[in-house]
Amino acid sequence: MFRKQSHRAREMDLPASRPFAHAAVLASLALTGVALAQEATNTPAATQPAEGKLYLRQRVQYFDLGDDPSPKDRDIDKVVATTSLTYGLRRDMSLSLDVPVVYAIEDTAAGTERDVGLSDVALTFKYRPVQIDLNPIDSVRFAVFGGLEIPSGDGDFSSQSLDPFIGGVFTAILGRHGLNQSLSYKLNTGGDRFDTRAGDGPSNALRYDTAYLFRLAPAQYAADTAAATYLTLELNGLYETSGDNEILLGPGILYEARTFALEAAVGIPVVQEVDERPETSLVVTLGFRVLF
Amino acid sequence: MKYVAMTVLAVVGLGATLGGCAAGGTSDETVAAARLDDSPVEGRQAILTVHGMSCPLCANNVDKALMEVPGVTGVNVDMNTGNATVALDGKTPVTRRQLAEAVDKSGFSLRRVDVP
Repeated sequence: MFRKQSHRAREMDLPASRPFAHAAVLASLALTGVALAQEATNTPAATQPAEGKLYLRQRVQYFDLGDDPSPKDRDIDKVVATTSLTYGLRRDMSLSLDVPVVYAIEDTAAGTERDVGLSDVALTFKYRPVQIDLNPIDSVRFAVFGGLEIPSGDGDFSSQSLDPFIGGVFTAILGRHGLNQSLSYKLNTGGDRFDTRAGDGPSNALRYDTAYLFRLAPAQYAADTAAATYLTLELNGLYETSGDNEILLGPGILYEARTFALEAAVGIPVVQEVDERPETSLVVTLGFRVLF
Repeated sequence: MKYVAMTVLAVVGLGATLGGCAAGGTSDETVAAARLDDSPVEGRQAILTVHGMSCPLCANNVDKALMEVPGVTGVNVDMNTGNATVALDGKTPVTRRQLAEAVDKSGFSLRRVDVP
C-alpha cells in the first residue's frame, strides 16, 4: 500500500494554529512500534482481523533524506506518524483507514524550516480469496487489495489528487518461518509538484515488497504460550515511472502477545537510482498494534 | 492392461473410502455435521480443533469469537495442538453450530468438534 509520507516543508516554523496536529505527532512519538500477526513492519500480509473486530496500528517512521536534486539542495529529516484502523467486514474481507501526520525539518543554505501537517488519507479494501490452513500452525494465503489515497487538502502535505492503487499479497507461514510477498501499483492522477520521498511524486509507482519472518521464541508453541518474538528481514522496493528505483533492506524485530504487538525496523538503501527526488539515507520505524 | 489399472484404482479408492468410514469419518465430515447441528452440547466442555492459528494474535481472534457465544464462560487455546477448549455454563444451551460459526467468523479453519 502506498502512503503519501513526505512533502515540501513550507517556509515557516511550527504554526500555533495547528495544536491538533502537534498533539498527534507528540502522541505518536510517545508510542512505540507494533505489528499484526505475521505481518512485518513495512510489507503487507494476507492477514486481517476477524469479522466484526477492530485493529489499531500506530507507526512512527523517521526518514533521513539527502542529495536533493532540487535547487534548494535540502537535507531533510521527516517523522511520519500513521494511525491505521482495520475492521473485519467478514472473515475474508477488511477495510482500513490510514491517517498520516507529518513533521518535517529541512536544512537549506538559507536556514532551517519546520512544518507539520496532515498528509493524504488512504482507504484500503482487502479480500482474501485463498486460505489453506495446513495444520494447527501452517497456513498459505493470498489476498488482493485496492483503494484510494484521498487528498487531505492540507497545503503541500496533500497531493491534491485522488490516487487509486491496487495490489496482491502472498503469505506463507510454515513452522517458525513466514514469508510475505506483495506487489502493488499506484496511479497518480494529478499534481506535478517536486516531492521528497518515493511514491509521492507525479509519477505512477510500482511497489514490490518481500518480508521474511523467523520465530525466535518460543521454538515450539505450548499450551501456555502467550507471546512470540520474531526476527524480520524486509526488502522494500519502489519503482516510479519517472525511472527512479529504490530498494531498502531492513532487519527488524516483532514482539507479539495475544492482544497487542510491538515492532521496530530499520531500512537501509541497497539500490538507489534516483534523479527526481532526494535519496533515502535511512528509515527507522517503531510501532504498536492492538486488537479490540 | 487398461482393465488392470482401472481395477487397481477402484480397489484403492474403495479401500480409502472404507478406511475413512472405519475411522469414524473425516474431520471435514465432522465439521460439516457440526455446522448443521442445532442440538445443545451436553456437558460443560467442548474441544474444537482449529487450524491456521500461527501466532498469538491469531489465537486471540478465536478466543474472542468463542467468548461471544452466549453460554461460553471460558476459552483456552493451545496453539501447539490447535485445540480450543471451551467451558460452558451448563445452563444456556450452546449448539455445535454456534461454536462452528464463531470459529468461521474468526477467520481460521475448524477441523473437529469434540464433546468429551
